Amino acid sequence: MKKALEIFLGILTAMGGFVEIGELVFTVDAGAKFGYSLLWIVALGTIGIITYGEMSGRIAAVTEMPVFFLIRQRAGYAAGLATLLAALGVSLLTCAAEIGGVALLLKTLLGGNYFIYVVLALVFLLLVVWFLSFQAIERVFGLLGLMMIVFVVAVFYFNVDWAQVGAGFIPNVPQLDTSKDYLVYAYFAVALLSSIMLPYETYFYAAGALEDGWNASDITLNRIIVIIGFTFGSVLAIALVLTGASFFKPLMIEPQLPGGVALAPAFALGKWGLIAALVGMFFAFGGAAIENALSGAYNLSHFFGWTWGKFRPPKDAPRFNLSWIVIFLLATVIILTGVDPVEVVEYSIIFAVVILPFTYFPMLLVAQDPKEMGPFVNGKLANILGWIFLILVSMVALAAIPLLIITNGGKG
Amino acid sequence: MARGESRSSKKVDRRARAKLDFWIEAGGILIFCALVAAWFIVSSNEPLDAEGLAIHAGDIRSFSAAGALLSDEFSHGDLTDTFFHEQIELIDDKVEDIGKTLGRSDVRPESKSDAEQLKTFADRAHTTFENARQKDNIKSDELRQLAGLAKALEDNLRKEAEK
Amino acid sequence: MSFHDLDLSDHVLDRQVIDSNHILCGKVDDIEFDDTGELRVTAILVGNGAASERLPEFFKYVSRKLFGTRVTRVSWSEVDVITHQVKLKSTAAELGLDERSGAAYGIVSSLPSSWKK
Repeated sequence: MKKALEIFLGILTAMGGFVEIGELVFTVDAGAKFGYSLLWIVALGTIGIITYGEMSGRIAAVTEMPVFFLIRQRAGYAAGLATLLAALGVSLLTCAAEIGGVALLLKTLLGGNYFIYVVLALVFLLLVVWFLSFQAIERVFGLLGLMMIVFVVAVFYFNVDWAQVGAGFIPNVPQLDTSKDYLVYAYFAVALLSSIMLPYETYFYAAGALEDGWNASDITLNRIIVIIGFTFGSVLAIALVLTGASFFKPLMIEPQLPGGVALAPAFALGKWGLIAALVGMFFAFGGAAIENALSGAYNLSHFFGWTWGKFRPPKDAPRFNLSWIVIFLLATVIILTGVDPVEVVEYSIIFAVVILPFTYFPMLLVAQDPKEMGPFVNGKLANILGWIFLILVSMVALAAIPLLIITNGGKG
Repeated sequence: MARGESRSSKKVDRRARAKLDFWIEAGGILIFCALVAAWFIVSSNEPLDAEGLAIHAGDIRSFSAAGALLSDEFSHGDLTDTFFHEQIELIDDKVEDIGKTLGRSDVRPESKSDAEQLKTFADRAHTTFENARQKDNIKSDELRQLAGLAKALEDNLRKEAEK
Repeated sequence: MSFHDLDLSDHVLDRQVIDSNHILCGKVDDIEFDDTGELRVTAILVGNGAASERLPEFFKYVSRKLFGTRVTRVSWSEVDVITHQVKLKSTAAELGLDERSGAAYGIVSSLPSSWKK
């Protein structure tokens, strides 16, 4: 019974934590710009994150080694340090964007000064991480983030062309007006893939497995949570693409503010739809801010061998705890400069894809090494998918920054 | 003695090599940073062309249409007062920024008339949003019309840029 | 695995160091050899002073300026067991590897409830 509850809550948490500000903006915008044609990227990204999420959880459970243990061990100190710094940069930018998103949502919910809400968001997040246990944070933010399910419900109120939806899941490039539009389409494909496969998700997932004390007996639990949780999470991402395509596109709107996206559930479900969407986003963004700050602290600790963990009193893991506090503070400073959080997340998502191959390659090497994994080594399917996605993200990583520059950040 | 000498000369060689490596790496990084900064300065000072204007036109189209939708939903009672006013304020700030950018940027001679037209759209949208901020009255038809005009201009500009 | 077939770069370098109480206390940042006769390992080195030696020159300079040059030398005879971690025979405090003596500890321990799980 206890195990079943753990699986159930784990699935809901993985689902509720699937969407953050970057994914929200890119999925809705992708729908508003290109209709249903980018749905196949959501499906592709979901298979990718399931493949590597499962691998990271399995490695952590079997070898007790989180991601940056492996990166340093397999890539060496210099290359590992470069990956660590890049990952920290991406986590910092993403955390900044999420804090800005939380502040924007508070402003639209309660009214008042944005910058005061940025500071209040910081204080709230610091207190939450300091006082709540890892499991409580995961559950509270994951479960309340599930209020974003109003987007799934709202889709049934819109005029969705279900035949086109089906066609959108088959890899395709639609007929577009100009050659630049094709590049923008490619940019959105890259950004969408990256927003679903953000590297911090595997760092945090593996660290979470160790925080929860998983061992080899939890391999099935890992598999169920990853496959069902991430698949359900992708339903939310798909609903966001459909919202963009069937609600915002006909109105010629490409929402550039997180609050603007909530106009869709408000249209379908009235005031309560709006409030549920905003509250759901608040917890989804807040949860992502925490995951990024903690991921940064985990990565630093795992790379340098410091004592880490939310399960210890903070004074027993001082460097780990100081790290996430500093990441929160730096992220807040970035947002207090007045930079647009949505712009920040666009950059962080594109830079994130560049570090994906450096994160996945060492993971794949360990997961397919019988000396490290024993009987829990990758099966044929995990190996094939692992290599396919490694090649794919490597190609995408090469294209990401040129596409960002050529398309002016997807604006054309 | 001979062995000691060769050891110390190897040490000197290694130090010289390390120093050389240091300056090569520092120089490489400096050149890279200078190139990125130069590219950034040049691209941000380039006069606006059809492509740049099309981006602004797309933003005005999107913000105007979002304003019209906000107004409709607010009048149907689907939004809270705070949400409506705060969203209008946020959109207005963005539209005002676009107007200011268009006002102060250099524009290529062949795109001057398009830029002026776009500036008029931005100013009209800003006035409409500002009125909505002060009174509770937002002219959604005006915004919808603006969105249509901005869309037509955006399409023309994109075709021009394609040429 | 016996010490005879130990691959130092694979099984020792960059591995987690834990003390006799299973407290994490850094990584094996470098390995010290005695090359005056038969080549043999004399110590493991922990700290930025050792790790930064493995970076390209410019980055080594920056790393040392930012994080210092401290190296803690742990004699090879202190090594107890090597699995996927390197376990030592003494405690972190005895070897000078205890985190609870630095500035980070000073800040974190002064915050309210820092002793609570």
